[in-house]
Amino acid sequence: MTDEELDELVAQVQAGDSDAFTELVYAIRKELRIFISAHAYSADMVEEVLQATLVVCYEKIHKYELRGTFLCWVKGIARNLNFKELSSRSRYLNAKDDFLDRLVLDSALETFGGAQDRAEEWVERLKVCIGKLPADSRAMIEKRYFENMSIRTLAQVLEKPESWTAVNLYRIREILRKCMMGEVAK
Amino acid sequence: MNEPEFALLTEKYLDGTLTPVERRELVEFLLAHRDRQHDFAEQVRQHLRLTAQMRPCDRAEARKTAEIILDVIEKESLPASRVRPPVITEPTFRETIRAVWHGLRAPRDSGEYKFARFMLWRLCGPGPLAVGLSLLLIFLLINFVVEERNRPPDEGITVILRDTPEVVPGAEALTENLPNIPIERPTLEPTVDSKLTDPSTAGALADTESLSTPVPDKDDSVSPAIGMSPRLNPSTRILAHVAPGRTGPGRQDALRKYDAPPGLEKAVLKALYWLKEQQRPDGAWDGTDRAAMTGLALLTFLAHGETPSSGEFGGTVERAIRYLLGIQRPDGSFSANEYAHAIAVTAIGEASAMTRIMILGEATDRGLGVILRGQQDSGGYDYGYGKGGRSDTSVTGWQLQAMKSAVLAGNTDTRLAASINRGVDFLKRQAWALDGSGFVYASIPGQSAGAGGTWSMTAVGSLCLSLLAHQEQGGLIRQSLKRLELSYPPWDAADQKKPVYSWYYATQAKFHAGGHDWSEWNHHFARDLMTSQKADGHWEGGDHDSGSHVYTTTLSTLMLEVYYRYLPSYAWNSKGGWARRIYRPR
Repeated sequence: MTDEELDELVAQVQAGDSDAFTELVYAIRKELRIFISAHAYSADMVEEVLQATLVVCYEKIHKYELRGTFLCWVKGIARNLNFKELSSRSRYLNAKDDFLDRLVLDSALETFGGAQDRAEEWVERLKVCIGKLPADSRAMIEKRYFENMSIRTLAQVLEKPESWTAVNLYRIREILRKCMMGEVAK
Repeated sequence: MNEPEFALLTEKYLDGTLTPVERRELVEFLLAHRDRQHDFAEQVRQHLRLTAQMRPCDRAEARKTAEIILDVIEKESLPASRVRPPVITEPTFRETIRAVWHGLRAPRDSGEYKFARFMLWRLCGPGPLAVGLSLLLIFLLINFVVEERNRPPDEGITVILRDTPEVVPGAEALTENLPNIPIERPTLEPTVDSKLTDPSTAGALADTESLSTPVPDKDDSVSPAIGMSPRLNPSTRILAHVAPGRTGPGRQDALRKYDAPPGLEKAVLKALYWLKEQQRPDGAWDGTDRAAMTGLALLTFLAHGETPSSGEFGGTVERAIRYLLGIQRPDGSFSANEYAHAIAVTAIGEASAMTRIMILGEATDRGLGVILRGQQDSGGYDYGYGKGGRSDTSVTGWQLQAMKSAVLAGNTDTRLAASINRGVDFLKRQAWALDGSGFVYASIPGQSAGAGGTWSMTAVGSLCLSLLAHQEQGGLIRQSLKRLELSYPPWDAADQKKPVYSWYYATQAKFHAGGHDWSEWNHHFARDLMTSQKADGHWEGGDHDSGSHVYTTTLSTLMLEVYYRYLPSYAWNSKGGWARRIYRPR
């Protein structure tokens, strides 16, 4: 959906059309989720921040001026809420008991907002990188994420050991990460 | 842990299927291999990105999300009127009181009665009671402070109780630079007290002014450097019980009671204003001896009830006190002159009695030490506190007044009573002339004066005996007063100076005697004085006046203040103690 089309929907929402808001959610939801995932540390957090962003978006939508920048406007809201959520969760995580969560959270906070923060750009490139994967690797990724298969289910579908499946997924994600960074570098 | 195991545990972590054992293994591995911690975090974050990227998003899910959001927003923006009221509401205070009132009249086993008792316990329990008492205490305290600050000066003599430095370095220089601010004198109009209806006294009192001294502005000439401003210390004490006649109302009562002539208070105030204008920046007054003049001037202000806390003359009194304290020497003497020293001790002692300022009491005690040491065996005093045997009644008179002042100041020196007794003995045995002509000017040691009593020395002796002697000397006091009746030096004779000195003593002695002695003297002395007062308030032409007129003016003013000046007196009784004795005309 183009920026102009988004503004038309926003104008309808501003006029009090609740169905238009449903259309708007459908239009921006995926992109917002990808954007939020750039700095998220868990799937739960992504969904919570996404929900909060949409609530704030609806409450403040009358302040938005129709200039073709609605997605940027919403991403600004999402970014602020994302940082608030990361800071809030950081205070409650116990270093020992939630060591694994803490590692991910610290990594997310480390890349947030600094001059080296290019995670949001990388995530924009992820779709391109997925398209460059070999067919079998892309098929594995699609099964894992699009069909939402667990590692055990995927291993059973592929008729491979879990460890083999796990190692391959691990390597594909690493390739994709390097691809994202490489794409940005270009 | 090898590569496949680490990758498998990571995938299980992403799926949320790690067992506790597996989680512990993963944590221990990452703790042991810090270089893999970054890889683990990046794998997890990449997993989240892929999930977001690959997750399908259908319209039904979007609609559900939108409905949830709209529902949340609608509930948050619900108007207050649509909010369901709470099930339990707190009753208002009025409702509670009403329920208690009805409950107390309900049967004792009813819930209403129990509720009323419970609420009464709550209202009158320790907590509310403590809060109520605290508020009451605070209210009373605030009320007391406000009342103290708003108390007009005429209601009592307020003084400051604190230690003050004797001399503030640089104070003289600062005070010398003070601008000479003219102070407008209040216009005093006599008014007749309409409440007096007694026909026997109405005639006499019709002319007696009921002056209400206006509350003047604060004395602006007080130097901040002096640092004794009464406003700096709110701690005050009413000394009406010490000097009832010197307070505003007490003064008016005394003027009426002792038949003061009209215009007397106005004359006194004019004199006080004149003295105030004559005060030097260092607090002294010029004259033959500054210590003596300052002591006499201070006595005139104190007699009018003025203290450092007073509004109009507070600064004047303060500077005078500071000057005297500043000139007191280490041995306790205020001056090398025996008259000046005794006058200064009298003034400081009186100030101490009225204000209870500790440093004044100490200065009085030190000054008194000089007087006690200078007394001769005969009980009399000579010039320069000489011990050659010659005694001078005039000199002795001032020393005895100083002793009396020290008594009022609360001096506890055990030698004081003995000295007073010796002084009285001196007057009785040596200064009184055997021929009944009165007290002599000087006496020969060990011998009674045969003749040569003078009117002025008789006045001195009469006053000193009145102030200090006990009842056994009553006969001698009567004889001396009788001698004073025979003749007296005229006040305004053309060919001689005004007899300020002798009149000063005679006026006080006759006031203490009261009765016929006082009424006859009172008939003319105040009028004579007021007639000769200059327009600006001073008197001049007195004997021993050096030209500054301070001496004549102070003694004249003290005479006019005799109606209310005297503090409660104490007499040395035969039982060995001081008995309070209030002088009243007989």
